[in-house]
Amino acid sequence: MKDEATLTEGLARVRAKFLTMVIERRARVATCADIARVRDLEDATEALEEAGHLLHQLAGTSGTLGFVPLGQAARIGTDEIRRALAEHRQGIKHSTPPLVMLLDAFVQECDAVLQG
Amino acid sequence: MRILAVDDDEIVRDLLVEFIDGSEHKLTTAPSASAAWEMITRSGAAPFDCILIDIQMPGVDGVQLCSMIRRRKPTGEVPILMLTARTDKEAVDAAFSAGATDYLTKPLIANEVRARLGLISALQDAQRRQQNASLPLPDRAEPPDWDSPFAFEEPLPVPGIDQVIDFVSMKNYVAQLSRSALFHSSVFALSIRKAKRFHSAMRPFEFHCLITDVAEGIAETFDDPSGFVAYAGSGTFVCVGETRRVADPSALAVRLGKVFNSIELHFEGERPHSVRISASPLHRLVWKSGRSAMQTLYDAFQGGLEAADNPDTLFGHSRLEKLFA
Repeated sequence: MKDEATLTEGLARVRAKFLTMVIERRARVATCADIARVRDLEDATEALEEAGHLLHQLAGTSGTLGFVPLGQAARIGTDEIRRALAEHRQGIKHSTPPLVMLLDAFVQECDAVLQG
Repeated sequence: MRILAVDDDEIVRDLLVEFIDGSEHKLTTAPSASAAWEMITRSGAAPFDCILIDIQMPGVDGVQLCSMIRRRKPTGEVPILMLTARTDKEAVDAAFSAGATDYLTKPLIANEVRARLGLISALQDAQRRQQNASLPLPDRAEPPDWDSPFAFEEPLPVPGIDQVIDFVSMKNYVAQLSRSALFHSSVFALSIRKAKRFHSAMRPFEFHCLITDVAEGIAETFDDPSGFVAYAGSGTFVCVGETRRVADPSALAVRLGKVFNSIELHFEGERPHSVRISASPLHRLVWKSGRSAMQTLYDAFQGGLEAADNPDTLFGHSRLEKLFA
């Protein structure tokens, strides 16, 4: 097993790589939010599925690397998108604005992390 | 241990390398289920001692990969830890239905990952010691010799039956249920009357077949399609399900009695014996978690033993209680 110092050093490397990924994923989520902003749920399904997948990945790793608010924003977004899309498939009507708000909140959290 | 970690997220794979890889464990990573399957099935490759699988992956997902591994004979028994950011009952149920041994929620914490792997490593050591002591646990995928003796109290795996999971997985499942799921869930036990006598009089293979038949009967008559059953040893099965669906274990025992009415066991030239099942009271899991949920599972198990009037076991109460620790 690695000692504490080696582990800390390794985690710092992973953290730096993660921040690079946040830049790219933030841009993709912002694009998905823009698509969903001007379409109804039926036409924005693909964009929301992509955003949901990106958020899901960040929800799983942000907390471990110390970015707790980013992880929470990602988790809330993931859960809500999953629920809305599942209910939409069952014929329950949903509108896109609440989901777009969650994506915007996530993008803001990314900005805070990148500026921080 | 030789460990394989499967996750489509590069950051998770990197984190697991930092947490796990070292002198104690050798970690291999795969970015997808198909890449993992290729590594697992590659001829001549050394088998993995443990596999960590992310549930939500594009293409073949983690639950499907878990089922595939369980169905493949040489790897069917390997401990599988599912990794996910989801904690809802649907996700937990799907993982354990597919044969997961345990469940780790993201965000991952280094000490927790290491502790879970330590438990699996200890479990494997204990199984190896038991095999060396000529009391092997039957192998889930390929029983080495079902006629090797095993203790009456041993929680045997019963493979290949929907909703029937092994006892270790059952404990982990109960431990992983979220508060809202616990609120709606209950446990109870079903115990074979005179099970100890059957165990003494039957060949190990026959007793194993009896346990399998009873497990099949329970799974067929169980009222909750999302519930789980595990054989906890001592002729007793522990069951977990939604309270509103499993409210009356005694009625289930009566229905099981009808199923087994036609089955008669013959041994040692004695008169035929029929299989009869008794049920413990229902124990609700509401407001319980962790250790108290495990205690409730143990209380149900004890209730099953008492209802079936099974004599004291060789293990004694303290050792039986340890099974539920």
